[in-house]
Amino acid sequence: MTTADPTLEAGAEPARQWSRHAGVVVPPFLVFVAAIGLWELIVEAFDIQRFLLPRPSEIASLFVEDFGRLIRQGRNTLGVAGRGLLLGGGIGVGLAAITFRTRWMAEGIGIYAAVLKAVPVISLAPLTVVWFGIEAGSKIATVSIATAPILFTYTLVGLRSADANAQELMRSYAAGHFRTFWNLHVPYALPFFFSGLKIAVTIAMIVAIISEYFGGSFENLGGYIRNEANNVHTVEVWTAIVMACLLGISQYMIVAGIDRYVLRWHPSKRGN
Amino acid sequence: MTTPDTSRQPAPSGTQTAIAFQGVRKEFGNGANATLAIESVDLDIAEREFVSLIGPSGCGKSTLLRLAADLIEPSGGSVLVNSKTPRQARLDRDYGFIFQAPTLFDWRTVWKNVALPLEIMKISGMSREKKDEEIERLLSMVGLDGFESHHPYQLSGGMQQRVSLARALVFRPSILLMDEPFGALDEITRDRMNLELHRIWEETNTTILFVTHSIPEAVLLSGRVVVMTARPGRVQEVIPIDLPYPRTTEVEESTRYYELVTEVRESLGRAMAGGL
Repeated sequence: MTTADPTLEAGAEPARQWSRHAGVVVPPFLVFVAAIGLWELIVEAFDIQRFLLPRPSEIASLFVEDFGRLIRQGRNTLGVAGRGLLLGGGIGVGLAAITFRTRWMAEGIGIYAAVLKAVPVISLAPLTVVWFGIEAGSKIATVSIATAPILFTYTLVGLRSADANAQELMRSYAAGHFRTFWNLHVPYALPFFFSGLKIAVTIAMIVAIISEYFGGSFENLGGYIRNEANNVHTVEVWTAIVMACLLGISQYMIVAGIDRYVLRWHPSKRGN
Repeated sequence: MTTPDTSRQPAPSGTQTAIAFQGVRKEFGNGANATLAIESVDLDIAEREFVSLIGPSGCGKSTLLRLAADLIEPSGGSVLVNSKTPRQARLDRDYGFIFQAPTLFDWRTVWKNVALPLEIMKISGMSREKKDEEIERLLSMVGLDGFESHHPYQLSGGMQQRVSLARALVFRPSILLMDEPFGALDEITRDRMNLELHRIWEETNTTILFVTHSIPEAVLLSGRVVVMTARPGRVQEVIPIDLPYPRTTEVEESTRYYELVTEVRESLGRAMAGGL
C-alpha cells in the first residue's frame, strides 16, 4: 500500500516547506533590488538626461502620485483585454468543443488557427479600426483575433487527449454525448485549456495596449503612453509601463492560481 | 480430496444463456490490409457461469470480449447478450466492463469514481440514501473502507483495480466482462484479488467472462476454460474445471488442480503449434 497523503506531508514538515518557499522568493527579490539600485547609480554617475532614462526613484514617486489615474486607465485597458479574451476565448473553446469529434472539421479550422498564430495580429489593428471604429470595439476585436486561435488549439488537443479506455467505459455505460463530454472530455481538456489561457492573458494585455497606440481615447494605458511619449514625458510613460507590468503579472498569477486549485488532482500540480 | 461439489456449475441444458457467439468472425481493416482476428467462433456462456478465455497473444480473446460489449461490431456471425443484440444489452446496462488498466478518473475521489455509473444511469427507484449505502457496501466488500475520499493516485495498483471492480458492480449488471483485469498486478496481489473476485462472484450471481494470460488463474477461477488458437482466433478446446467450490487456497494445492493446469497448458501448447 503506497498511500501518500499530501496533506500529511505538508503538515509534517512546515519548516522545510517554508524554507523552500523562501528559497524561491528571496533570490529574485534580491536581484530586483540590486538591479534597481544599479540603475539609480548609473543614471546618477553618468548624468543621463531625464528624457532618455529617468531615475527609478523619480518613476516611483510619480507612480504613487498618479496612482488613481493609472488605475483608472489600467482598468480600461484591462476591460478591453478581458472582453477581447472572453470573446476570442469563447470562440476558440466553442469551436474546439463543436469540432473535436469530427476530424476534417477540426483540421479545416486548425490550419487557419495556425496561420493566425503565425501572422503578427497587431498588423491587422488598422483594419479593425476601419471595421469597428476607433474606440474599444476595434481593440476588443484585435484581442479576440489574437487569442481565439491560441485557445482553440490548446482546447482541441486537450479534448482529444481523453484516455481511450475511459471513452470505452463511458460507451459501456451508454452515456450520452453531453455526459461524456462533461464527465470525461472536459476534465482531460482543462490542463491544456489553462496552459493556453496563461499564454492568452499575457497576449491579450500586450495586444490591447498596442491597439490603443493606434488611436482613440487617452483614458487607457496605451493611449496615455502614446500621448506622453509624443510630448517626451518619459517619466509618465514609465509609470504607465509599470502599471501595465503589474496588471499583466497579477492577471497571470490569478489564472495560475485558479489553474493550481482546479487541477490539484493533476500529475503536474499534485507534486509528490 | 472430497468429491468435487459441482453445484455451482450450470446444467448443460435448462439454464439461460447469458452470452452466445455463433459463427462469429471479425476482421480489422479492409481490403488487402485486412487482418482476420477471429473466425467461426461458437461459444455459449450460461447465466451465472464463470468462463475464462485463454490463448496466445493475438488470438482474439479481447476481441470476443469487446464484441460482447458492443465496443466493436462483428464482421460475420451473431453475438447475443441476454438474448439481445450487444447494442441493446449495452443500452440496457446489462454488463460491466473491466479493463486491464483501472481506468479511474483522477479528478474524482474513490467514492465519486464508484458513484459515476449511478450518476450517469440515473437509476430510477433508487434513493440517494440507497445509492450511498450501496457504494459503502461495495467499498467495504472490496476492502477499501476508509479510502472513500482518497484520490486514485494515492492508491496502489491493486487498490485502484479494486475501485474499478466496485465501480463495475455498483449498478448490478448481470454480466461482468473482464479484460485481463489483474494482468498488471504483482503475483501476491493478483492471488488475493483472484480469491476476492471469486468470493464476489459467488455472492452476486453474476456471469463472468474473463480474459487472462495466466493458466493457474484461469483454472482457479473458472467453471470452464476456453483455449483459443492464434491468428485467426478460433476455439481450440473448452475444458471443464471440476474443482470444488468455494475456490480457496486449499483448492490451489490439490492434485486435481495441478492436473487441470497441466491439461490447459498442453491444450495451449497444441493451440500455439497451429491448432488441431
